[in-house]
Amino acid sequence: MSAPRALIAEDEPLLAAALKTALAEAWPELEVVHVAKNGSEALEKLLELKPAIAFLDIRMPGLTGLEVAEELADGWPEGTRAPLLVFVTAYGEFAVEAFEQAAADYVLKPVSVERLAKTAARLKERLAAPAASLDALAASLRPLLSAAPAGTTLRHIQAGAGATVKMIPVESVLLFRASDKYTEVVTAEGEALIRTPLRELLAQLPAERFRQVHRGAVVNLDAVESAHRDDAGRVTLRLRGRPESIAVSRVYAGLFRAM
Amino acid sequence: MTGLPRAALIVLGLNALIAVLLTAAGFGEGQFLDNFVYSNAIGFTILLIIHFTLRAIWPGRYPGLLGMVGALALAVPVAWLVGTALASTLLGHSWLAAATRGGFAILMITAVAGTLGTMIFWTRAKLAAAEALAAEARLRQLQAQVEPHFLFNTLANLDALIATDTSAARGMLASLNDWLRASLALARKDASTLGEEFSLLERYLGILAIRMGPRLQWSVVLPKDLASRTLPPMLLQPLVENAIKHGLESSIEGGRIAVRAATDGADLVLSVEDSGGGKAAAGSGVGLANLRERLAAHYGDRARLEAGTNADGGWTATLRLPGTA
Repeated sequence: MSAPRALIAEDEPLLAAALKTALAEAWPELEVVHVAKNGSEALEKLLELKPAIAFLDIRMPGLTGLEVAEELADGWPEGTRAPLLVFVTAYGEFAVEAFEQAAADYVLKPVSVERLAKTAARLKERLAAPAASLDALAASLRPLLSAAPAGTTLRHIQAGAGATVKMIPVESVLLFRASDKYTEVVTAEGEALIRTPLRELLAQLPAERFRQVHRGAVVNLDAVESAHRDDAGRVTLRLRGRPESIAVSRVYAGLFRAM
Repeated sequence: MTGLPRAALIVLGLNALIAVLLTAAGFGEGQFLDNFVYSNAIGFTILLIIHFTLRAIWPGRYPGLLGMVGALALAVPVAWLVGTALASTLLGHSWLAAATRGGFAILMITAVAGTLGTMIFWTRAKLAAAEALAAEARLRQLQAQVEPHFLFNTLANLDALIATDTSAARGMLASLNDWLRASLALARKDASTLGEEFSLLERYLGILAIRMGPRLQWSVVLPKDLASRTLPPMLLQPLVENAIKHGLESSIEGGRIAVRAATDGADLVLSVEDSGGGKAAAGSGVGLANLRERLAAHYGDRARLEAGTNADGGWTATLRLPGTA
C-alpha cells in the first residue's frame, strides 16, 4: 500500500505547523500534501488532491470545518473513497458522541504526539476496512450540523425596508436563503433582507416547520411541494408558488424519502 | 431619594385615608374637608422635614435605620405643631383649640402615619438599591467570563511556540498572564483608567496577532494626557472582541483594527474600527445591548454608543462618555 496522504486545514499558522510536526513524529509515513489556511481553500484542495485523510479545524474563516465536511459530501465523486475526517478543536462546544459518530476521530488542541499516535492507529484500521458510503458519511454529519442551541422561538421576522419595518409572520415564510452578509426572507408576496445570519436564525425558528436543507437554505416544510432525486442521487425541492428549485445537500437528503 | 413628586402623591393618598378615618371617628365635628386640610398640613410637613433633613445629612445616599428613626423623632412633634398651626390658620380656627381638641390622639396618629409613610419610602429605596447591586454583580460576572475559545486557542499556540521559539513563547505567556491578571482585577473594581484599559487591549491584540499571523494588523492610540482619565472597567473590551469576532476572524484575508481615544470638548470619545471583510454588521446586537445597559446604569443618558458601517466596509463603534463622571 502506498503512503497515505493527508490535508490539514487550520487558520492559525502556529497551530498548523505544530500539527504537521506532531503528525510527522506520530505517523512518519503519512504525507501531508497541503495545509489550507481557511475552509474554502480546504474544500477546493480536498476535491483537487483527493487525500485519504483530512484534519479539519472547526472554527475557520470561509467555511467552518463542519461546513467543509458538508460540502465535501456533496462534491465528492461517487464511487471513490471519501477522506476520513478528523475534527480538531481547542474547546469542545459539541458533545463528543456526535463527533465520534461523524468523524473518524476528534482531537483537542494542543494535540500531543501520543494522542496523534492513537489517531494514526485508528485511521490505519479504517483505511484497511471497506469504505463507508457517501450517504452514510453525510447522514452521520447531520446531528453535528443541526446541533444548534435552542433559543426563543420567533413569531415574526422584522425586516427593515427604508424607514419602515415589515412584520412578517414566521409561518408565512417559504424559504430563508443565506446571501453574503444577509439572509433573504422569501414569502409568497416577495423577498426581504435581514441581517441575522441564517445559522443564528435557525435556532429561533419552530423546528417542526422549518428545516435546514443546505448550508445556505432553510425551508418551510409546509411550502415544499415535491422533492426530486436525480440519477446521481442529488435531491432538489420545489416550493409551492415559487419558480426556483432548491438544492438539498447530501447531509439533509435523507429527510425527503418516500414513506 | 429622587422622585419627590411621586412621594408627594403617595403622601396625599395616605392623608386622604387618614382624613376619611378621622371623619368616620367623628373628629372635627365629622367635617371631611377640615380633617383633610389638617392631615395634609401635618403629612406634607413631615415629608418635607424628612426629605430635607436626610438630604442635608446624607446627600445622594440612603441613610441607615438609625438615620430614619432619628429623622422621624424630629419630624413628628415638629410637624404636629407646625401642621396644626398651618391648618388652623387656613381654616380660621383657633390654634390652641385645634391643638387641645385633637390633643394626644392627633399626635399619635401623626407618629403612626409618619412612620408608616417613611417605612414605605425606605423599603422602596432599599429595594431599588438592592436591584442596582444585583445588576452590578451580574455585569461583573459577565465581564469576568473569559471566552474559553480565546483561552484554549491561546494555550494551544503557546504549546506550539514552546517547541519552536522559546523566547516568543515566553513573550506570549507574559502577555496572557498580564491580560488575565488585569481582566480579573478590573472585574472587581468600580473604576479603571484609560491607561489601564488600553494596556489591557494591547496585550489582548498582541496575543491575537501572534495567533492570526499576517491576517491581523492592529493599532492602539492613546494620547498621553488621557491616560489617567477614569471610566468604568472593560467598556472597550467587548467592542474589540466584536470587531475581531464578526469583522476579522470570519474574513479569509483578515484586516486591521484600530482603537483610539480622543476628546471632543469635555467629552471622551473612544472608537473601535475594523476594516471588515467578515460579517461585521451581523451578530453584534447582544454585546452592544449589554454595553448600553452598563452605560445607562453608570452615566444615565449622558453617554452614547453609536455603531455602524464605515468607509472601508467594516464596522466602527464609537463610545462617547461625558467629561465629568
